[in-house]
Amino acid sequence: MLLINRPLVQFGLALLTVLALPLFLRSGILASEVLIYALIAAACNLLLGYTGLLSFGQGIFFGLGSYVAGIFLTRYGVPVWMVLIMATLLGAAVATLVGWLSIRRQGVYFVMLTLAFSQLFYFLAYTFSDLTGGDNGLMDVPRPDLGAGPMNNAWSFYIFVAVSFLVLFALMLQATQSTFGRTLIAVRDNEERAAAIGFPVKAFKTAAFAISGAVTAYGGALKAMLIGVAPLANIEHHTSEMILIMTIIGGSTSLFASVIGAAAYMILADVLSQIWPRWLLLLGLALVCVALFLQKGLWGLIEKLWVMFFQKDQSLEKKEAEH
Amino acid sequence: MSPDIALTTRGLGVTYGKFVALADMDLDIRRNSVHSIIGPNGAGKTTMFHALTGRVMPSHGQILLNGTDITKFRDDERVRQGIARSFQVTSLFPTLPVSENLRLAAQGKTPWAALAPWRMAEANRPAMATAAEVMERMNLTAVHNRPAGELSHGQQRRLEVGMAMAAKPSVILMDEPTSGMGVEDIEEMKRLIRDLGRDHTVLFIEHNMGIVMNISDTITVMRLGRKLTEGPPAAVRENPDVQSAYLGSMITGDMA
Repeated sequence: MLLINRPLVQFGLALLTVLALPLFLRSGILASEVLIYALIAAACNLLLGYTGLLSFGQGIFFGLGSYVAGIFLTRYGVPVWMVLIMATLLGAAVATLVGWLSIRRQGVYFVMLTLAFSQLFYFLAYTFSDLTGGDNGLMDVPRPDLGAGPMNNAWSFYIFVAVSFLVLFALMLQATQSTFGRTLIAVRDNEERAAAIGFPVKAFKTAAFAISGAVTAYGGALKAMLIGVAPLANIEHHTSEMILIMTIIGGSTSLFASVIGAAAYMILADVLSQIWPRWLLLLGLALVCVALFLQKGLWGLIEKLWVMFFQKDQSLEKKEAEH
Repeated sequence: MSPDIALTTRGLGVTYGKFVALADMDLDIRRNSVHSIIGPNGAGKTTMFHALTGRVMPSHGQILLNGTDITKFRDDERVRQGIARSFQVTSLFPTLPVSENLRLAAQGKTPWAALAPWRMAEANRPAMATAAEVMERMNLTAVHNRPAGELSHGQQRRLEVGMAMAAKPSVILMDEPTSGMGVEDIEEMKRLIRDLGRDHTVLFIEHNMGIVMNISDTITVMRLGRKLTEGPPAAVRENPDVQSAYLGSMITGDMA
């Protein structure tokens, strides 16, 4: 395994990102958004990169998380920590259901099923407007108050997001290194053989969905607190697309790749949108380039450069050993 | 049922729509024996393997493994009951190292323990030991770190069989273990299959008559989805039906 893909190094890079963002970004909101989406893209990567499942359903869990935060913080005054746990559990539960039903089919049909579920949950949210605020969403979602008053300063909320990000990122790293994560990779590599050697493939895929959904819903709750709104847009299929695009731009060979993907997307979007209102067009172009020339994403590029500059000797040795 | 029978089928059949791929198959595979299945292409040999391993659910009949009715079991459940197989077309985890392929195959016997996202893969010592053992036996230790997809054909075939062994099955099913192998590799595989027959029950499909006639205790000849005849090599060789139906000149040829 490349040095930069080792779990401890990956965690170090995540920590570095957390420390570096405040130095380079002026907006605490943008910095928090980068971390939230980094978390969610990493959760998506667990399905896409590790299990080989292209899910258009990530927006469902994200939207659910933000609604849980919106509803229970504004209407019932439930404490923040409990709201976050509720969002996570609901995310896991719904992801289990959506995953369990979708993995009944494979390939294109699986993708279509996740897309269909994404539409289904969007219209549910739209229809039950008493609960979700419908088109308007839920307003005035408060930020957490950890004793020192609500975190009105965006940078103090950033700290809260950063700690969440680091803890969940570490847990996901651990999951990818465990027997569970290694079995997911086997399922991705050759599902038929994984079943033939005794693994109940459906249970593993469903569990991957549950973890991915739990983390994504947690991120959705954070996002609602960050911007103070739980809008209908969070559960729209556009959100699912955005999460997938971040994951693909980053690359799917390691979890930190998703952090790079999310950061690149959010920061690029921020810069481009100030220059040109049709910035999404440029982003589309960037995705086309990745799909055509950079199939392992930005992280694949970094891996290549790393080998070129730092592990040259090692790759030479390996070649010689093979001769 | 007699205790020295490991695997039994009664009236096993697989139909796809109107097409009968396998019908009325009665088998009694003796424990610790080497039992081979031969027959022309399209005789239903691989279909029967699929039915035995749960890849395809049988349309008729019954399968008993060590006295347990496993007819309704899923493929992964049958592995836990003690059936493992290798494939005719090599089916490995191509991007994963040889050692990881075998570790997974060994872990497959206790798959629910692998569901824990906090448990490290290397902590399963028995699985690691099994993987090392199989690598040694299959002469793959030197390439343990290479991705399976980069191995030579002979090495891939050995790993393919090793994957089935790693589950420590009571019955091991091998679908053309020597397919595409070079002469030296074939000798090696022949020795290995005979060796396996001592502590496992081996059921294998093979086209190489040299191997079949040499190491089988029992041969089942199949044709058009049914059993044509069955018996020890000498009897099968002399059977006129078999000679006209399938073997012809092949049987008198290579008898190494």
